Parts: sequence; C-alpha cells; structure tokens
Amino acid sequence: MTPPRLTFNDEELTLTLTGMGGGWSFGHLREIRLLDHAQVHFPSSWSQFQMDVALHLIDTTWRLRGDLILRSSIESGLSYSLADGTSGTLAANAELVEHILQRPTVSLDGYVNFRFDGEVGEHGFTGTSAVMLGLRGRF
Amino acid sequence: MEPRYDATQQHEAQHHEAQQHEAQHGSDDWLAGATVEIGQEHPAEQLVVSADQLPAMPEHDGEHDQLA
Repeated sequence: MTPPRLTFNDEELTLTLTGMGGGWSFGHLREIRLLDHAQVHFPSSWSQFQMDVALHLIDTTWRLRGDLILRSSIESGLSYSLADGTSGTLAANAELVEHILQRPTVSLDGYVNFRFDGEVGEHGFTGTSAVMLGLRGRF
Repeated sequence: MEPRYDATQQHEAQHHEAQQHEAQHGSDDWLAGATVEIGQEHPAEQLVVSADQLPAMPEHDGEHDQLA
C-alpha cells in the first residue's frame, strides 16, 4: 500500500477578514473565494505543497459548506448592539436569517478557522474538515 | 353600534403584533446602525477531494515523500 504523501493532523488555519463593508453583506461571503479577501498565515514548517493543498481544501470546504455554515451560525443566535445602546442576543428565525444575509453592511470583519485531519495519497485527500466562524457586521 | 373600546383594543392588538413582528422577524429600522455578531463552531465533516482536483504532487516533498 502506498504511504500518504502528506498528513494533516488536526491542522488549523485561520483566515482573517478585515476591512470589508461598504455594501458587503454576510451573504456575499457565500459567493466569494475567501482567500481572495482574507489574510492567512501558514506554519513555517509547511512545504509549498502542503500550503497549496490546504488552500484547495479551504476553497472546497467553503464552497460545499459555506452557505449552511453562515445560515446556521445566524440561526443559532446572534448578539446585537443597537444604535440606541440596547444590546442583547436572539435566535433568528428564517426570515431574519435571510434579511441579515442579504442586507448590506457598513463594515464587515471576522475570521473563519478551518481544521483539517486526514491524508493526501495517490487518490487525493481523504479526511475531515471542521470550521469555526466569527463575524461582526455593522449595518 | 360597536363599542369604542373594541376599536381601541383592536388597534392596540395590531400595534403589539407589529412590535412582535419587528422583534422576531426583523425590520430595516431596528438594524440601522446596529452591530451584529455571529459565531459558531461547526463540527468536522468528511471531506474527500480527488487527486485530479488537488495541486500536482512535487517530485520531492518532505519526509512523507517515499514515491520520488
């Protein structure tokens, strides 16, 4: 059996999104390639091949799961701070989820953390991906 | 003739319903100037990417490279 060419052992990468806004909506994040708008730092020990594979896994994971991740993150609960100083948390129903996804923001920033566990062999990558997301939008 | 308080009650009920709708369903007004934060951890899911979709493997790539 051919040994793996590359192993991801719960490797984490965090994409930092800053300076977005001026019309960007939360929902826009579903439609873009995150890496075109984010900063990411790789461990210094990684080879170029490992970085290239990781970037591809990020793109694939986000393309497959980005919409659901954004929706469920809003649906599970959001913190708000209103213009009048009122703040709180609420669970969003489907209508509010859609509204927040589509409403343009004044500014939008946050992070998306990816964790990969698996192997790259002659047939490709086989493993798992986990995502942690934190976003702040000002309307 | 309908009692006056019925109309008032109906108006108040509609007003209360509108407030509830705004709180639960959102409106353009309450979000104006607001900051909203979301965050959630999404558990690991299986991911399979075929070799032809990945970057080409280098001839030599570190300690795992036993094919080159």
